[in-house]
Amino acid sequence: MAVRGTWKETAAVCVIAAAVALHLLPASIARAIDSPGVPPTTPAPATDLRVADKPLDAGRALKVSFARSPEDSAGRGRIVRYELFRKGPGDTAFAKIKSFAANQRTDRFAFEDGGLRPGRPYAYEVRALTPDGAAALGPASDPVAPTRQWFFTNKVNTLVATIIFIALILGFIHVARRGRELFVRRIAGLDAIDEAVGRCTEMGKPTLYIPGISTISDVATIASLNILGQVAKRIATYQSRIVVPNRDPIVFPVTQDIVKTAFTEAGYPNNYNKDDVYFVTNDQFAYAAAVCGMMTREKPGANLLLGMFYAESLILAETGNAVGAIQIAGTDAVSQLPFFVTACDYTILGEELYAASAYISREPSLLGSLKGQDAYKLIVIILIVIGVASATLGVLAHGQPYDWLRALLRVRGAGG
Amino acid sequence: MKTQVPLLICAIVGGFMAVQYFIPAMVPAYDRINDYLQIVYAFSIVLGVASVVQRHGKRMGDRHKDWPYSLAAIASMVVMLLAGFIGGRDRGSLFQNLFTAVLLPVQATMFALLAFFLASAAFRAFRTRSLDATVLLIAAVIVMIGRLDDGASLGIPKLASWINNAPNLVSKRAILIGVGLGMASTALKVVLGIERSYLGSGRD
Repeated sequence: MAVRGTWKETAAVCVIAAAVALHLLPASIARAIDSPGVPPTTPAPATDLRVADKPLDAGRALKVSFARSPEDSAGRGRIVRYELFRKGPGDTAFAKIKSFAANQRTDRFAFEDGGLRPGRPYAYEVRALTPDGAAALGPASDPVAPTRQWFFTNKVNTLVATIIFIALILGFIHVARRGRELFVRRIAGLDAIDEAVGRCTEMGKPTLYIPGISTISDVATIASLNILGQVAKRIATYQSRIVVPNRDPIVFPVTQDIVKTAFTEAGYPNNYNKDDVYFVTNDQFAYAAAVCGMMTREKPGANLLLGMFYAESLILAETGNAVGAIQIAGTDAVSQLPFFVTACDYTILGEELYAASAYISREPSLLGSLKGQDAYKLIVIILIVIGVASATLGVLAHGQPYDWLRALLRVRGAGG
Repeated sequence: MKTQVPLLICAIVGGFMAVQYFIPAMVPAYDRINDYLQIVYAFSIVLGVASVVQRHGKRMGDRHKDWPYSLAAIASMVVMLLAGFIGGRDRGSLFQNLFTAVLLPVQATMFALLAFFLASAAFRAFRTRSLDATVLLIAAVIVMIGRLDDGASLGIPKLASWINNAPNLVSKRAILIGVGLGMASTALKVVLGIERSYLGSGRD
């Protein structure tokens, strides 16, 4: 449809168009000036840069922290990222070591700069970045040198407790060596070892000794190796056979040497069979499968499962139970103890595993250490009773009078 | 000499480990010694593999009644070794395929056997032969029902939580305190050379 109108209407439209054009022109010009090619405005830098030595360390770390730029509001402002730079001894310029996204829920960004050299000064600076690439570099910090500390001041209570413990152990060992008779209560599981070894000898079956599946770094493994020395000597004396399958390749040569030494000392070095002490695999369930297979085929007269065990404990113990072996198990893994109690004839609970070597050998110095341990346990029990009483009184009195005790007994890690 | 040298090494390293716990400046040395353990472990693997080959090789050579098992063990080890050396261990390699399609299912199967062993062990444990077993049975039933929604109206979940958090936890902690002291005592005896059963008699 054709547009119809008079010349007056046409002129009016032209005037309105001209007015609109004149109104919009300055804004267009301004936008053109802001277009690419013109650098963006610099944002405000991060603030309050702080550098401090990390306390209680080997002088290898500094703690660096800084606050947001005033133009940053948890990632919703102009700043999208912060970059931390460091200049160390011998460096000619600052180098970037860490980047932080601005959209984090924190008022201060913190970083622990590790791997530094003790006593050497390090300076830091922070750069704030906008999405369009504009950057603001804040002032560099004063150089700070990490310092090395020579004592964990937060471990004084642990040190005192350790000294008391060592003194008690050594004191009781001294008493035992002077010939004083020390009473040690009966441990049924350890008494049964003799019975189990004797049964194997009579039946002409081997004794299976499993030293746990943990590494040599585990104290339970060391305790197990101490028991192995005593047990292997008895078996050697009875001219019976011991089989020791190993899961850890470091424990393996140690067990081999222990058994060989035991047979030699018992006067039957020729009875030692190198193939009876062997490495199976370091895979947990493959080890369990191999040992279960061995139990099923060779049907040992007794199974001694002593050391650290994990999920395979019940698989081993139930298989041993099924083949009719006398089973004596001992571990300090609290979660595995119920399985052993259920499936084995005798269970050596927790600390009894560590007492076993002393109990079997009856050597005075080892028995003395057991008594020292008991004396220290008495101190712990007294402290627990005081703590419970203090806490109860605190609740009744609506106060916290046991805080001092809690602080006294608090154990802290390396980091404090 | 055979025992004196190991005892001396043990005393020095053990003493260092005890002292470093209280001295921040010695922490880097502690980390380095832990790294050495990895190196020792790598070498010990060679000993382990040698033991496996020697034992199973001898069984095969002697035509031991279980020699087919030995053959399977050696063959598996050789195949995995060759697959790793020749084809690498990247995703999609023969080594990875053998690992995911054979080894993992076999491991899972062994682990799954635990369910059956748990059932048979639980059956034995819960037979009410004594007062202790009866208490155990009642506690176990309460804890198991406490895990179900149906028991909520009877307040059983609260009772189950109490059993777990009070008598159970107290017993665990008592055992753990004893274990901690036993560990410390054993470590001290080994470091000081008082406990030397792991070296045989301790006589030269």
